[in-house]
Amino acid sequence: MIPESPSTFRALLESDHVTARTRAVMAARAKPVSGAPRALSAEGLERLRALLDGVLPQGDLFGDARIDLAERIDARLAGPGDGWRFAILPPDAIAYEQALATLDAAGRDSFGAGLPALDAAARDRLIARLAEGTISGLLDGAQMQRWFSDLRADAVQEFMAHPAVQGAFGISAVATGGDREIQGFEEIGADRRERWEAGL
Amino acid sequence: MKGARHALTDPVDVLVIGTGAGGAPVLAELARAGLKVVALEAGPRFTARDYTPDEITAATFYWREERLSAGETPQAFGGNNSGFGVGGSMLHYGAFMPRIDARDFHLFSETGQGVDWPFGRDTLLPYMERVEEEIGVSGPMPYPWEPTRRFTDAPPPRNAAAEAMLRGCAALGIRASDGPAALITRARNGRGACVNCGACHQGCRNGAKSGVDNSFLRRAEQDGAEIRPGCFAHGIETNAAGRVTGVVYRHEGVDYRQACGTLILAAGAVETARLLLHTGLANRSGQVGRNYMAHVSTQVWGRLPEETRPNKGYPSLAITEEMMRPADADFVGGYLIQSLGMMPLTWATNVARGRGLWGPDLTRALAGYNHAVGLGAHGDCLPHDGNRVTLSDEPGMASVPKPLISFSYGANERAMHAHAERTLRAILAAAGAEDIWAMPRDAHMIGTCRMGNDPESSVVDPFGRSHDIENLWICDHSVFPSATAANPALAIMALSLRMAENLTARRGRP
Ligand SMILES: Cc1cc2nc3c(=O)[nH]c(=O)nc-3n(C[C@H](O)[C@H](O)[C@H](O)COP(=O)(O)OP(=O)(O)OC[C@H]3O[C@@H](n4cnc5c(N)ncnc54)[C@H](O)[C@@H]3O)c2cc1C
Ligand code: SF4
Repeated sequence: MIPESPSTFRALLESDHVTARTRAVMAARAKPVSGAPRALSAEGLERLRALLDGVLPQGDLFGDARIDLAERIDARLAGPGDGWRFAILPPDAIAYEQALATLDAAGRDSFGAGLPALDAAARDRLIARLAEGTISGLLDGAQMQRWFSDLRADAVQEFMAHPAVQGAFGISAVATGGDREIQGFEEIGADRRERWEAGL
Repeated sequence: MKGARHALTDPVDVLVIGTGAGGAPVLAELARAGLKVVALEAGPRFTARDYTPDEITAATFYWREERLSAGETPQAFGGNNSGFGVGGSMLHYGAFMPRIDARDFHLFSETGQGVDWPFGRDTLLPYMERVEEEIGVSGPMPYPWEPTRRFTDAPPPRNAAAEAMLRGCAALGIRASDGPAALITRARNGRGACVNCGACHQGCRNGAKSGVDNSFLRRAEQDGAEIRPGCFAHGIETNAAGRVTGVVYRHEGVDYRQACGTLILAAGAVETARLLLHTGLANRSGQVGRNYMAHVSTQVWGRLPEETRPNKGYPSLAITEEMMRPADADFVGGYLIQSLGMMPLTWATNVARGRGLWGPDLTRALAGYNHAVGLGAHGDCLPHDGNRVTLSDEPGMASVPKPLISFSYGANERAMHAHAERTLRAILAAAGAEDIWAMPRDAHMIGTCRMGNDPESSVVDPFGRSHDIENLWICDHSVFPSATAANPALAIMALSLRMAENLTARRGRP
């Protein structure tokens, strides 16, 4: 099940404070991506899903619904790239595949199961070791740490960009002004909201 | 090439590569002087009204070809990367517009470290004033650290971060004020007044933010300059005498050659160095790509009990220049402090890279966006031997090798970062923030084609002309001998006006 944004946020998206282009971008993003996996292997995508449940858990933010961050990251990896990478890492999609395989192997070594089959406690112990830089395999510990930094950056970007999350957190950043008039904001400063921000 | 107004074989007087802070002003000046000028721009031409605050979509005006980031403190480019489009990095820059402190021109004379500029602040000041007048810069008069500085516009309203910084500084006895912001708060010349939308880094939709796209480039085209978007320059041709005769560029997969009398490189500190290293030109000194620097841009964030909504208002309004030479400094040079609003994805990325959180702690931290408050520093950076741009062995666009950028903090940068972190933490705490965290960070791409008087230790002369090739000039962030603490766009544009004057004067003379 995919999460929906709260009605106040949907009303904001439909209002004249948001342009048609931004509205369309948000509408497209509310839908699951098609064609996954595009850049990763099917195994890699499974592993990424399992890992992200531990790295950026969605808890009961949306009840039983979940944003599939893994397939969004996979789609991004198949896209034009973001202009840079750490020189010690191979190109992004390869780094992901190798890092996920390294973690999966570490899971088998330490807990007798690959990433997708680990229970939450074992998965979290694995993530703690990843953060410390003590997991290595296809990539060494330092590479794994850099990759973990990239992973978290990708994950939070896909997360925060989602209309359901912006709605849940009450973020008004899409509402910089409309097509006819670019209204911007008038209520600037601490604890000040526009009238139309009231329900957020 | 379809749409080109000047025949490619017919040499133009001056060809400019890049249309950012460095390329635009000189293009406008030369067009006004009646020269036949063309600019090649790798990126597209955007329509400002179509910009979107959606940060993922707005990434279309970041440089997207892969750069390799190495060193002990490798730069995380992403949204901090240079720009790609008519207007350069100023399409998504933050419009914070301090002037370089007079002392930063002479850091070596003052401290025995770093290098001096080949001239002082007085030389650049008239050009900075002309830039400010033409593009529009808002600020308070009198400006505390330079009471004679004039602004074209009154400051925009303070967002929660600016209020907090002023409150925190007041509590600690640190003088602080509204800062210089390159935006207009009165509509004019077809540009709207700032509406406090907070999306400066995603592109200003109403033209309030002062870029080069809505100032120098507009004037350049009115005066007959031709700008060719989507044209990636990758070759420079020379004759037997070693003079530049033309440039090869790729447009929609096809290579073209434009002949020119004079060539100006304004592709930014990474791409200008890359092009020169690739072609092997103008590098008798061996200095091309060296002296790469980045500002020490420490950020400190906290949480206020009040709602801050960091996406609202001009993001970085408050400033203090009191740390330009702090009494208790254990480093040379100094740093500026600015308040920070921030759009959600950019902020979340900082949380992700800077806080080391994962699990429910990470999700909880992100949920606190609407209460986040931030401060940022911009500090000087010394050149170090290992910090440089070189060519990697991976082919990039038009088979030009991708650039490899090595950057490591030295002792001075580490000490400055520590000092900045302490200061910013104290200000935020005094403003009432809790849950304060800091992240080391660096910003901007500086150096690589240093200007100076000595052809052994610099690439261009004090006006930007190559020591080696008489009709090759460089006008962008690469020529800075030292980083200085100030955000760079103003000085780059000022150097560009100054170069234009000198280039016109020297034309026809050997
Ligand atoms: C996120 C961000 C925020 C910033 N905020 C501020 C701020 O608040 N205040 C401030 O003063 N400065 C700020 N800056 C810095 C400032 O924008 C840059 O320092 C300045 O624009 C650099 O000017 P430049 O001429 O060197 O390069 P750019 O402005 O980057 O222009 C270079 C141009 O050359 C083009 N190009 C490159 N290679 C080629 C090629 N081979 N062929 C054709 N075209 C090419 C590029 O596409 C680009 O358009 C910011 C920068 C960034 C990235
Ligand atoms: S805050 Fe002002 S200058 Fe910045 S993008 Fe919005 S309107 Fe333009």
